[in-house]
Amino acid sequence: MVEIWVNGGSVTLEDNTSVDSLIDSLGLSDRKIAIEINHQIVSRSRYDSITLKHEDKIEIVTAVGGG
Amino acid sequence: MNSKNFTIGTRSFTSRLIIGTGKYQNFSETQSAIKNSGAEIVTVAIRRTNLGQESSEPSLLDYIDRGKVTLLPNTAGCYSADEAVRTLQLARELLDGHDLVKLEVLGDPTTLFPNVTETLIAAERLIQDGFQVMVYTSDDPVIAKRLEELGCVAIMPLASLIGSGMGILNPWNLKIIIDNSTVPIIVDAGVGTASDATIAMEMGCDAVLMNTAIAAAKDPVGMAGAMRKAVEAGREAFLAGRMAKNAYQASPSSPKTGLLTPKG
Repeated sequence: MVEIWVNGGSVTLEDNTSVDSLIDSLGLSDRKIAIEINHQIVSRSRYDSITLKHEDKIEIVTAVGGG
Repeated sequence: MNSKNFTIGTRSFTSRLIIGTGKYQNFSETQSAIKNSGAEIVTVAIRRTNLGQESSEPSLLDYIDRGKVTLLPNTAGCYSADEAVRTLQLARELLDGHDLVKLEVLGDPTTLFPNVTETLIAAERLIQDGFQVMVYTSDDPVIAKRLEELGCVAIMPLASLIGSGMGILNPWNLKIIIDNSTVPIIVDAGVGTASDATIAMEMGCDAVLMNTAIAAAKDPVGMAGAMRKAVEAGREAFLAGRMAKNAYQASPSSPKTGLLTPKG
């Protein structure tokens, strides 16, 4: 198991979980989102090829109402 | 090219009213306000996804027709150039390479006044990274010109504090900025009611950006329609060229001759 941070909260995952799997498990597959891992933006095309490692810090953002 | 269009960077628009998507009661109201305003550009903020959310819950983007409306991601809540640059790089990824953005770097949480020195730094970095930057700034003509020289595609001076509804507090500074600029000047922040928007356009602004003026009105969808007309009226008045003012002497509109009771 690996422990990672997603949007500031701790999440425990199986070893070798891809970004794609994480997004799927969060119900975000059909959403317009952007992801950073350890302060690096990860493009959508790489979601299934990147495996999450212990202590990775993930930020998942979306567009919301604002001025 | 249609002379009624106006250009921001590489994009052309007919509506000169830009609106925000914050503070509405629900997404349906947001959608109706956008429609009634005729806005072709709407701002959005970039925030962490709510992870507890059910995947079936609607999101803002479900209510905006991206075929008709250009999204303008902002950097609301950013207090440093680093935060602003990071936010807009994420926004560009989120919106599949979309590069027209609104930059705002705040200096104070109470007044939300811009931190212009950090704004200059952020603008330079974003422009080098290929963004087309529309920049929120103070009504300081020197900073406005400097942001233009860096390559910002539009300069957006505040009329008054964000969400304050106080209207244009310093029309003289705003006029100086308009007269000295070769890129669009868009009043952003502080518009409260229709006449504020009309005055900005009469002064020669290219467009007006507002959020609270519509969303916090008693009838937001009604106000959105009023604002559409206000911006159009102001623009037409500007193009028509107003009459001169005379503070001390009247000028009758009816003939002075042929009076039934001749004078003198």
